[in-house]
Amino acid sequence: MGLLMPIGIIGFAAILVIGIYNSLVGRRNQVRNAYSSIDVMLKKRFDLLPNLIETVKQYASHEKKVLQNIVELRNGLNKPDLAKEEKVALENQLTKQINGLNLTVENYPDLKANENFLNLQRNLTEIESQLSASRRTYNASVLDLNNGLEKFPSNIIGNLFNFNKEVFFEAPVAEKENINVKDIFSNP
Amino acid sequence: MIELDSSFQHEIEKLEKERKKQNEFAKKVGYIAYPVAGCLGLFMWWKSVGGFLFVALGALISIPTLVKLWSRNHLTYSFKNNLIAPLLNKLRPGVIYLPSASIQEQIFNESNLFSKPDRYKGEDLFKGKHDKTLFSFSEIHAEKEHKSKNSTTYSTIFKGVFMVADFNKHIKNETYVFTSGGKWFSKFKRVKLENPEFEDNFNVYSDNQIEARYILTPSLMAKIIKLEKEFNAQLFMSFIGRNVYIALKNNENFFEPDFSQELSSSLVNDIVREIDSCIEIIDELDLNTRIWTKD
Repeated sequence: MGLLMPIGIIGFAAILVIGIYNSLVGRRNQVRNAYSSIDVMLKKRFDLLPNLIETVKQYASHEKKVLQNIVELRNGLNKPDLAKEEKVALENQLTKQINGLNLTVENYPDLKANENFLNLQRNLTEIESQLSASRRTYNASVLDLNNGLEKFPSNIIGNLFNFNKEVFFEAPVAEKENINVKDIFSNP
Repeated sequence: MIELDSSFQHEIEKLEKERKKQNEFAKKVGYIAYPVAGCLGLFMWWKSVGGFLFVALGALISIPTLVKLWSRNHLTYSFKNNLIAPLLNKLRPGVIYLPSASIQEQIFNESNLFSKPDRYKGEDLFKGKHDKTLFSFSEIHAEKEHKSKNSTTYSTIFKGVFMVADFNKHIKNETYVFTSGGKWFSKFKRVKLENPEFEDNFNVYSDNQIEARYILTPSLMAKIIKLEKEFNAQLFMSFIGRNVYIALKNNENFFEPDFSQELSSSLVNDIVREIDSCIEIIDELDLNTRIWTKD
């Protein structure tokens, strides 16, 4: 009878630890899952770029510099063993370059009327919107995990099992300024 | 203020004459029915009789109200069919107005926003295409039945304006925006969003966290907050398949004239403004912007 009390307390504590541990694993997996969805979108954009470059090249020879930058950034992204931070920085630069390219496209009426280009524009807008949604999902997952790692008592379990806080995805400047996609692309 | 040409002015005057005539008639009926009912009541009290005379007394008392109701219905029918429908046809050529039709119950259920109703009715269906967006909306009153041994009662599930419109992005999953309540104990998970004001006012549920954020961009969240304030109603939205379903829960009777006051062009203007504000939801939510892969 005297043993029942301590066994009960230990049992309750064990269930609590298991529960918190599983919740933290769930949150960490959610962050990984969200990060991989960003990757999927980045890959889609990556695959679209050669097509975009080819189409723009035909009509906008004056945009050589921007196109060159895009090609270089794309090649940079193609390197194996790229650190997460490097990759994020390259992708952000790429976003900036693509947006810059489209802002000057206004000067090329033939390009603006090109069916293939219009289709590419729509696809890029779609990917950018999806990308933005994926980043926001990632940040929401990171917030959830980090909250778990800072709040009591889950912070104790987090420290005990070496859970690490994750870093938020910094939005590229273009997104911070909350530019409407309508402004980026002239409306077809 | 919209400019009404002479034919519409003429129709308003005609309806106003009709309204006055019917009001006069209802008054006369009252002048006769109430004194007769009074005499009958006195007689019944004096002779201490009841039975079928009670029925007669009840009928006499209710006659003026019934006459008033009948004339209101008749006037409403003329007002909607002979004035608002042709006027809307002129002002918004792409919009069809069917005063006695409503959004189908099947579409209401497809929205998955409310429980299935046992009694469903509606009126004032507007449908058409606004720029690139197909839409339809109407007034809906959906109720749940409660049966007990002795009686059957109904409670309101939804009353207000219900709209379905073609959404401008491709969606594969389901996302819900609730002013109150939510999708508890279901496959749908709560989506926490960044806008604190939006989070205070709405609960978002979805079976895909990324798609929910793809739909609910920061700008759309701000627009939804504004929309709810403008309509002073509880707002419910669902994004399913090709469509966005928008339910504005409000106990007001929309698109109805107040026949207790004089019929004038300003009253017509108010009704048209009310219809316009519903169509403008499409602009407010930017549904005509088709820069994504969906045409």
